[in-house]
Amino acid sequence: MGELLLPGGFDETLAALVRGLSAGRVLRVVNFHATPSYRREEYRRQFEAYARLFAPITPQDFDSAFDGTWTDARPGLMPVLFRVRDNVDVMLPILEEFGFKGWFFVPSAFPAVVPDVQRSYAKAHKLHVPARDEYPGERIVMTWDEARDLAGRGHGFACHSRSHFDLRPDTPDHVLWDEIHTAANEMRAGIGWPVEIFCWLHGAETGVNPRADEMLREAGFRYLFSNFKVQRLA
Amino acid sequence: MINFSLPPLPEEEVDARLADMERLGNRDYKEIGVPMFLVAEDLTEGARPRSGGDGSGRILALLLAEGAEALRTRRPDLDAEDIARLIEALADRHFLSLAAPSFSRATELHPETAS
Repeated sequence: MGELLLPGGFDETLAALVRGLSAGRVLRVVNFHATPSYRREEYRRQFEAYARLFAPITPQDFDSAFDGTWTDARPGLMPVLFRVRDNVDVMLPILEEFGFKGWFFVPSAFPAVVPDVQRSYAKAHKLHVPARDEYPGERIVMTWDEARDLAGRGHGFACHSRSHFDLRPDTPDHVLWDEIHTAANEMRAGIGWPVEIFCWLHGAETGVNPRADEMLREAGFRYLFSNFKVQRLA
Repeated sequence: MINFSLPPLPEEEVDARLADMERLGNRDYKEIGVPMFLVAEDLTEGARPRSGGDGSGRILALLLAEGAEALRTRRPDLDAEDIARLIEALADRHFLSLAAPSFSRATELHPETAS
C-alpha cells in the first residue's frame, strides 16, 4: 500500500465514514489488479459466490447505487479492474458468465505505450503486473480497441489519471492539467464518449488538493473514487 | 430513552483483530480480489442524502468505530493507513455476511412460499 493522504485528521475522517455508513450510504467494490490465467478458477469461484448475493452495478444504474435509490433486493457490486490485458482475457469471460459488469480504471497514457516498453512503464508508474509474465514479448495492456468493445457491451470505465499519478497538495497546475484534462480527452477519444469517474493513484479524496478538485469538475468528472469514499462532484 | 454502551473489547479480541489486520495487510495485492466498502458522499450543492438500507450500514459504522477505539488503546497516533486497515478487515469479515438476505426472504430456504 502506498502513502495515503487525508484532507483532515484521523478523527475527522473516521467521523465522516461512521456517519456515511450509519446512513446506509455504502458501495460494495472488489478491487483487482492483474488477473492471471493460473488464478482463473479462484476468480470464477468468487464470482459464482458473488452472483448469489449481489446484483451488478452497471453504468446505467450507477447513480442509483450511489444515491440510495437502488431497488434490487440484493446489494450492488462493482468489480473494479485496472486495465491490464489479462483482465480482458481471463476476468471478462467470468464476469459475463455471472452477469456482472467490469469497471475498468485506466491511466489514459498507458494503452498507447508501445509493447516493448510497457513493462518498464508499468514499473516506473507503480502499475501492478502479474508475478508471472503470461505474455512474454507481447503487450500487457488493454488496447483502446478492446476498451471500445467493452464499453459497447455495457462495461464501465473510469479515468485513473493520465500517468497513474499520485496527487499531492502542492502538485503544480500544469501537471494537474495534464493528469486531468489531457487524460479526460484521451479517455473520450479512446472509448468514444466522456468518462464521468476519476480516481488518483493512492486514492486521494477531495480536499487533498482543492485546485485538482475544481479542475476535475471543469473537465466534466462527476464522481471521484478514493480510498474510503465515492464522492459526487457535480 | 435507554442509555447504553457496550463494554470495551477484551484484550484478547483486540489482539486477534490486530493480528487479522496484519495478516490481511501482508497479502500480495497484485493478483487477488480485495472486497472494500466505500462510503457514498454527495458534495453537490443542495444535495439531500438519502438514508436507508436494512441496518447493515449501522452495524458497519459501529464495528468501525469500535475497531478504531480498540486500536487507539494500543497506538494513540492513528493515521490514514490505520483507517485503510480497519476497513479492509471490516470488509474481509462482513462483505459476504451482510449481503445475505434475511432468513424469511431467502427464497432457496423457503421453496414452498416462493412458489
